Amino acid sequence: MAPHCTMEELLAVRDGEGTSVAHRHVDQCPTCRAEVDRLHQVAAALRALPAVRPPRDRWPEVRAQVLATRRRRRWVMTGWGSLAAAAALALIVGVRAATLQQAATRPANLDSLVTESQRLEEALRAYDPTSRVLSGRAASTIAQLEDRIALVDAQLNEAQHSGASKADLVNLWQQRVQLMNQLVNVHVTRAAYVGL
Amino acid sequence: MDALEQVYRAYEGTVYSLARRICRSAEDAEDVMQETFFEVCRSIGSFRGEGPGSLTAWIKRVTSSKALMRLRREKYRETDELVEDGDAVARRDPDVALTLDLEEALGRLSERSRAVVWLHDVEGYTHEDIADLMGMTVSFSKSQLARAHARLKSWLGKEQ
Repeated sequence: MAPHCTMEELLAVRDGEGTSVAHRHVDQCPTCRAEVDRLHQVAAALRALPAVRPPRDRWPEVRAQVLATRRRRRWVMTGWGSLAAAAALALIVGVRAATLQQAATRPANLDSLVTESQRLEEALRAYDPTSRVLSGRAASTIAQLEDRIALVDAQLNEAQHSGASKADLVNLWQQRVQLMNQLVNVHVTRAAYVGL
Repeated sequence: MDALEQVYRAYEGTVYSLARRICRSAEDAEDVMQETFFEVCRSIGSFRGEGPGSLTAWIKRVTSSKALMRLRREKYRETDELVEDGDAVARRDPDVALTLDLEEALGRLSERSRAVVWLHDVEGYTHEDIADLMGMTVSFSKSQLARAHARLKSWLGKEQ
């Protein structure tokens, strides 16, 4: 009888492959046939091993990773598409900055400051800031500006009730307009960033 | 994200189990699980499954690929079995060595041998599939399987 099959030949026979010579030998050799049976049993025992459960829930990490990638991809996809919009907005911002510069050189007028503040409020509403997804940095800047505006509003309220001088009121309204202007600029920049 | 979480919940056991069989440590297997689900969430939109079980097969394929990629990154930490474990078994009474169970014997194989055994004998991958996944040849896969079974046989004894 031919020498016994090698392990590689036995495995091939077990898997329904292998040469006809190997198959013939296994059919005739009780030792090799027993070995093929044993290999079948090992495979069956391996398949019967219990499943292993993960020790920790990794979904929060996966979810955070997926969301971060989606944000990055959204930025890349909108980046090119928003170039035209960004350019248009840059023009608007530039024109407004020039207008403000001109206004700054004129003597401050309480009524015009109040009107300007109201116009900025309208502009801010137009950007619908509450519906936007913000980066942590932008959100922090906006929160700081809104806090400072709230502080100025409180001071204005106090000043109007305590009969403060017109100069003090003009000063506070100037601060408010300046802060509002910065706040609108943050939103304009942000809108250009994400393609409106 | 709710639908993706459902996929995660349905397959976390399958993915972790497979990763754990290939990776050396539980930590590595957890990392592979995370990488797998990230890939699944990212690519599920382009998945075109046909027939029952195709999603499972695809997820398992991603898992195997990630686990084997990790092995490659670690340069296989080439040892055919843990030296300290081998010594410990050799010092035992021969009868005790014969009772080494399949789980323990499997754990003593090198990572790539264990990966070949598991992917071929349990997951039903062909040697061509394994060669493709591991970036090796078909004959490498066949010889790894044969070597692994020879070792398992010697560790398990005839009574397993």
